Amino acid sequence: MTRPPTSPTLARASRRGDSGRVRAAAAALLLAATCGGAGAVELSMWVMPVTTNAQHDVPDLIAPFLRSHPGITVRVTVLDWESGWNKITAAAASRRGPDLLELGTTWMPAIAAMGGLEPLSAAQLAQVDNGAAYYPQLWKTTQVFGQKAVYGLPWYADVRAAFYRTDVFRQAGVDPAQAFSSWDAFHAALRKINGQVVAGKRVAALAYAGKNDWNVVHNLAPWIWNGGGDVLSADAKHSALNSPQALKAIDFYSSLAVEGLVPSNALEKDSDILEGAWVGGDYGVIFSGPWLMRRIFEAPPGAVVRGNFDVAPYPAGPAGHATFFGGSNLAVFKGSRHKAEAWELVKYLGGKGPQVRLSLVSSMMPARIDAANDPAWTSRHPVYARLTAIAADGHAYPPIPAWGPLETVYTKHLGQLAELSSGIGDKYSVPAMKALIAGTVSEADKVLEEAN
Amino acid sequence: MKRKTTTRLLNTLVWAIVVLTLSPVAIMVYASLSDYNDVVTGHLVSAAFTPHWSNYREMWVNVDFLAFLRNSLIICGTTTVLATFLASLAAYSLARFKFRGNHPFSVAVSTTQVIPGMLFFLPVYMLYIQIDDAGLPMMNTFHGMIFLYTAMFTPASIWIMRGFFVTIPRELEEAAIIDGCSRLGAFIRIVLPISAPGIIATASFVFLLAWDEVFFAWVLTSSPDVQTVPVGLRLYMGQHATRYDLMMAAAVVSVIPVLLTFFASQRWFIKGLAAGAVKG
Amino acid sequence: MTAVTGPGLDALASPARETPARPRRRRKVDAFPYLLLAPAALMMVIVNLVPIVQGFRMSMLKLNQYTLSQFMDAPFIGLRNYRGVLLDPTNPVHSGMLGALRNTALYSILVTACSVALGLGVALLLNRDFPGKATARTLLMLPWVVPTYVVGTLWGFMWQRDEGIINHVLVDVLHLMDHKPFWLIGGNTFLAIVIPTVWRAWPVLMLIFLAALQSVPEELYEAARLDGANAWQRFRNITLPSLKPVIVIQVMFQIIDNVYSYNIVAMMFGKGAGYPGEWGDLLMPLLTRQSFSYWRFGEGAAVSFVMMAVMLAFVAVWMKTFRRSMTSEA
Repeated sequence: MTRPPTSPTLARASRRGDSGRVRAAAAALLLAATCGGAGAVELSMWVMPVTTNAQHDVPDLIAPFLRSHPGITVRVTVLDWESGWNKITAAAASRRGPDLLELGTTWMPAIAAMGGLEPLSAAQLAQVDNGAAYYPQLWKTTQVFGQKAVYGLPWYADVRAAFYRTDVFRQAGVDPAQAFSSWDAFHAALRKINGQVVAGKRVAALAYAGKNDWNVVHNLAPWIWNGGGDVLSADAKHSALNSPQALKAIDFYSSLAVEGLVPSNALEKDSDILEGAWVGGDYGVIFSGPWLMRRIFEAPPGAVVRGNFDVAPYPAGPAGHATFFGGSNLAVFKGSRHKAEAWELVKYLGGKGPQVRLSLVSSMMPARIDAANDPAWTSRHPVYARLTAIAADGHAYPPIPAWGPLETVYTKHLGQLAELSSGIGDKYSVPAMKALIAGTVSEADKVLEEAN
Repeated sequence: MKRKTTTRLLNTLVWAIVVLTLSPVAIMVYASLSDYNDVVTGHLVSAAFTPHWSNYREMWVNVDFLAFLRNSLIICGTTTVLATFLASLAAYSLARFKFRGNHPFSVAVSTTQVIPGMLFFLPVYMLYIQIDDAGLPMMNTFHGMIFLYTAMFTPASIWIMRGFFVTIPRELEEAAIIDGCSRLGAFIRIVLPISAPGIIATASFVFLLAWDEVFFAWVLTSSPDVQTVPVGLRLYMGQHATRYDLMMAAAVVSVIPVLLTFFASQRWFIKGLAAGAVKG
Repeated sequence: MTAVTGPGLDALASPARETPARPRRRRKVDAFPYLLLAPAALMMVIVNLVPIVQGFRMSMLKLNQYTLSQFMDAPFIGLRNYRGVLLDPTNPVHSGMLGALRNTALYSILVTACSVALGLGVALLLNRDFPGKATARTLLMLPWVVPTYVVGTLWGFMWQRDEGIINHVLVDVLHLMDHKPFWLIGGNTFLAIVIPTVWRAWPVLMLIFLAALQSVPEELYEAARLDGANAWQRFRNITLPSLKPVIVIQVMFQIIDNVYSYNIVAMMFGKGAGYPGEWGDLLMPLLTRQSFSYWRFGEGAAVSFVMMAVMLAFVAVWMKTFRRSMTSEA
């Protein structure tokens, strides 16, 4: 059920969609008519650091497109995840920005609701088969919750799984096939591997960041989903962290730290550091994504992790073994003066070939199902194939415009929860946790209430 | 005898303080020569340390740091010259002349220092967009950045320069004027040369403040032909793997020219501060 | 604010003040000082005044992500932003603000006190001749020259409980503590942000005080020595009073700077996305994180104005209290 636009901005946005369709068609005709001729079009493209050298890699990626479209040149600007936010929102507010841009899946609804993105016309939707080629969970992130308009195409996916050390498991006598089959099995497995000494190094069972990190919510969400709960209610109007299932999941998750299976010194670090430490051999299990493969490939030749790791889905809870699904989408900017050409580039990058090529360089999973199953990706390393399989159970957050502030509220309170679990000051207890979550929910509800 | 022991004790204390103060910087240099995984996991003090000089080669390639250095030099250098010049004029006016606008302007200068930077962001951004639309490009341009930086750092410069001018005896200018010099001429030909230390002190402050400014450099620029060093440093932060090793190397590189300049000019610098910042 | 009275340049430029009381006679205004001021004033107006005025108006608008594209035409809601931010416990910008306020107040006082004390102390130490003086002075400037952005990151590494070098030195090498505490989570986060700030700030103060010390006439010390004053008495009766104007001004600037501190906190705790903690959060990081990052500009502007008002009051009171010290010649 579509809700009527709740603000003049949205109303204007949907009206613009109609005239946009006509303009896009006219522009396409014009482009076709003057193909290769007249004035060159320079597209401005904003991307995030999807590879370590995005300034160089992204132009490489679009080179074939430029060859087949001689009238178009592209200027790539690489932003970073923090100031990128400021710039994109300022661009959306001022209607002055790039022609096309990369947006995180949780950012897209917000910017779309601000009227910063050009929705796809019916013709454009037909050109991409209504998104049939993409993972449906990711396709949903190109729309605003409860609305029909589509604002872009999924570009690459961030899917998470348990990366574990096969040698440590073996030494501790843990069967990987069993270890992830249930929460209890996982708990028992962690207990066995905690403290194992492998290759001269003492290994801690699990690593996750507690407070000083941007993944705090993403780390916890799959546990809540697998416990049968959710981060938001079904109508996305209320926080659902205080449902019994969610509380149970949070308790289980925190207990891993309280028990010391997640060493307390992991809680103060961020994901960068923890991933480096896992690659360096300090931890047995870490929940991470395909980019970790790049770090493994770049590890020094004698690193113990090489050849001694594998991935498994999240430990199955009462409701299944869902995993976190995020990533980035590509969209045409509302204020662009070359929307037709920008759309062509977006469409190109949403195609199978370019997505596979990008994933081989960036080590992020393609957002297209056929690309994620392409042998070039899956045969590169067995782990990639497994990640594709795990992605089938991917869960993305509901695409609400207010996700950003909501995540900030969650991050803050979950950070406080981590402090409890770390053993400083007040100790962790279920009542204390419940009180904290109650506070979280009331703040979160306020944020959501203002948005609706 | 006692003097000598005291002296030696004090000297030791000084160098102890130097060592203590520099230890984080030493760690920065050490990290810049480490393997990227070692930096991140903090295994810095490991026995098997081999200096990774390759980091200093890679940093220029991974991010186009040379461009950022060049841009910073241009923007910060021009800002320094402009801000110092404008501040000198304004400070001279405040120091020498009694006129109705004197006190209000002084108050205004102080007021600018209590405005939080975040408050500037949206209005300045929108303003630049409007000027852009009117035909004069401001976003992502050298002059756009220079204008903003000059306006941001002139007030503090006026403080320093005014304090300096107040200490210069008026008789010198008055003598020149009696000899037929105009007031402006007296300023340029008599006061400014004497003020060289104050000017150098002010210029160094402005340069350093501009060199380190990161927020507006980020939001008002969008391409490597204009972006500055602080922006460049941030670009080593990749999506999921920050090249801290390269970032530390770049930080070391960006520190060296500033430090060398300071070493060369410190005598003047201190003399300038002696009269300038002192009198307020 | 030294007085600029007396004949001299003024008398040469503008006509004498005593004019007959004829109502129509225009007193000729000397344009020269205004002309000198003009360029700087113009820049300051554009870049400071316009944002202040717009900021004030923004603080009374419902300016958030949904109305951002209307900018100045967003709905006018009067003082509701102020009420919400200051009084409403469920307001997301209000959340954690009391803690951040407390932290900011303590932080700015502690950092200022330590930086000034350290700066003064080391300046006294350096105000002698010894081999390598210039080198020492240069080296001591290094903390200030390291980009603030890098400072936060670097100290974030150093503060780690098990891998960080600080705990390594404190516990393993110097045995000053028997176990390694957390610095990046829990109550110690306060110290974790204070110490890098002091580290970065004191060299500049040292330089300024050093310059001030060198302008104290040596004769005063000689006379005091002849009178039999010892080092402490010389310090108390000559050095401190001479330096009082400098110290007063620098303390004021330091407090202002520290109240608005942002970079170090932002970088040390998860690159701006993490939560610094109840004791590690300051006003500007909180404001940025919970307000400006999510376009709650109306509320962000409201808090900014309250902050500005408080700081202006502080500056006014400070200057009035120390007016005599600041205008006295040494």
